[in-house]
Amino acid sequence: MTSMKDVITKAKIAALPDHAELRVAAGSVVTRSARELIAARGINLRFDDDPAAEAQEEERGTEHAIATVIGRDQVGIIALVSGILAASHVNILDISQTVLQGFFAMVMILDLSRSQSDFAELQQKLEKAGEEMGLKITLQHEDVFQYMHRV
Amino acid sequence: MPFSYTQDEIFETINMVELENLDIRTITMGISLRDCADPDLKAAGRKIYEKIVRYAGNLVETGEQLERSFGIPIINKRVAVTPIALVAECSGDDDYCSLAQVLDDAAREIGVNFIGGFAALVHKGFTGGDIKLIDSLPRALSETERVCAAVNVGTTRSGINMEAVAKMGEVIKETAQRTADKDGLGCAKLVVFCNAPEDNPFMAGAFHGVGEPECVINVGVSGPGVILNAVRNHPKADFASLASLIKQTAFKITRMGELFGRTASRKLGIPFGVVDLSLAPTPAVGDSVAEILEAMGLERCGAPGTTAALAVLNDAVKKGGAMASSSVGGLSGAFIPVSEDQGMARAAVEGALTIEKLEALTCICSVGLDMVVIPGDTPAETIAAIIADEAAIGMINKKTTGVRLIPAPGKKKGDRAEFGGLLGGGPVMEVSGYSSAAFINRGGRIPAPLQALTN
Repeated sequence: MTSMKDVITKAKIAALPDHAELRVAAGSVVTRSARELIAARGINLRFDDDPAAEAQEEERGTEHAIATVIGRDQVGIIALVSGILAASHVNILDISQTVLQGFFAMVMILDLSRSQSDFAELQQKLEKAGEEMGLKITLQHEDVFQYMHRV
Repeated sequence: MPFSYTQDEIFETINMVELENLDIRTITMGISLRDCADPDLKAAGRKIYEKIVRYAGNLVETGEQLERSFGIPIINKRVAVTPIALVAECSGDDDYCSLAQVLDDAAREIGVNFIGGFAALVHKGFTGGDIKLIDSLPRALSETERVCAAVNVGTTRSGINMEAVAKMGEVIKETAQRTADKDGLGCAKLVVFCNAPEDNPFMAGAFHGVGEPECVINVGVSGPGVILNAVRNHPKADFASLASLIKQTAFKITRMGELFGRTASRKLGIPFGVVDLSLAPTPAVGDSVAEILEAMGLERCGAPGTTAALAVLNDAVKKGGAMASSSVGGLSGAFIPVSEDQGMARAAVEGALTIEKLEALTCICSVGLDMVVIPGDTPAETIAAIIADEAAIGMINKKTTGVRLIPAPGKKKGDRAEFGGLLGGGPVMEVSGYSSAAFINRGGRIPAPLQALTN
């Protein structure tokens, strides 16, 4: 379990020079204070590749997420969102949309299994683009809806 | 299509998060420290620090990953450990404050806001280690920031240790004095229990019980705001329909707890323990248990009918929650902390809610007199007697009760105490001026009740 892992603490980071490169074994524990100090001192943290973990990633197969877009209806909403998704190689499995009294509400079901952006990165891109157009865009893992609405 | 969610279902979930404060209240990692005992307390401290950092070093990071991918915030990531009295006992030292400091340092290193388990279980009597831990409490709580403490003084099976009850009255007074500059903040990190659960993920009372595995992930759900809106939207519903409505909502909330617990467990490679169904309020607007009771038709929380309303709420939450998770545990009920719940605090300020009414409510809710500020000059014996009352309710009703009283130094009825953050703030509530000193000074143990004879 956790007993064999390296542990990186704040004290270990404090001993390094600024902007140093720190290579650690895959799966190492890096504490919150260590991460804060890493960010503050511009240290480059790299995890060694772990072939076992990568193989596991491959096996996961499909990964679905749900994106929602809410805001005032305007030209180019679908183009904006689908453009970002296409650029990250995210496939849109289903779209439904309604416009109620000028308010636009869209739900997209996405397949992230070939996505070239990781989840957080994609989420940020969508949120930022949404803000520029005055839209609220969320991206959530499918499991949330699966767990809440299906037994 | 592999999917079958309707747009309504999807927006219902979004709505819960965006508008109704749906969140996961806490992911708490329980860690056994039994293998850290050492005749040298310093060496024990090193082992404890090393073990907590190793096991829980990635807890905050993992929690944040889950928040991002599920789009639901986790308010707290915390750690609970084996009661320190058990771990420190084999050392010859008399003062366990150094271990509290170790826990505080470890909590800071891994970035958790509270660490629970500076605790002793003394429901039938004290060992040497228990006494030393209890004596260390006032200093430990005043010198550390993140350490939470609990003392179990009674159980249904063993009765109530009245020596411990009397002692805790004094400990609470002294802790308040030592943190007088912060309105007695130290007492907000100390719970006195009867029937303390071993797998409770909620602070300040969390500790990792002796029957628990090496390491475990427990989850506490939240969501008073979601239930509040469900109740508000059905002002005319009769009680059967109201209960059913709360049940359905509690089910959905608890499913989120189950999802987070299972996913965190997989990511961290640590077994999943329980989901605690407690409705936990926060000082945020709309995240109040008192407001749910008021939405049921009471002018103010504390009005006649409040106990019945809480019974409806508490039971429906359990029924819905029990269906949603295969591993329910911890406290699992509604919390009624005064300072942490805006509606409760308001009702107390306006005089609608008194300590006596709160005591009645604790017969049916999950924890007892929680975060109640009382006058700073309340005698230790009176505090002990309030603890005894609560412990008796727990003992006779086979339920958990706890007491987290803050005798705010220098403050009188009508003044206000502020603790900040999730601990909130609240009014100083009136306590009966009649003395209980002779009763408390009897000492000994209240025998186990008839309810204990179940075999």
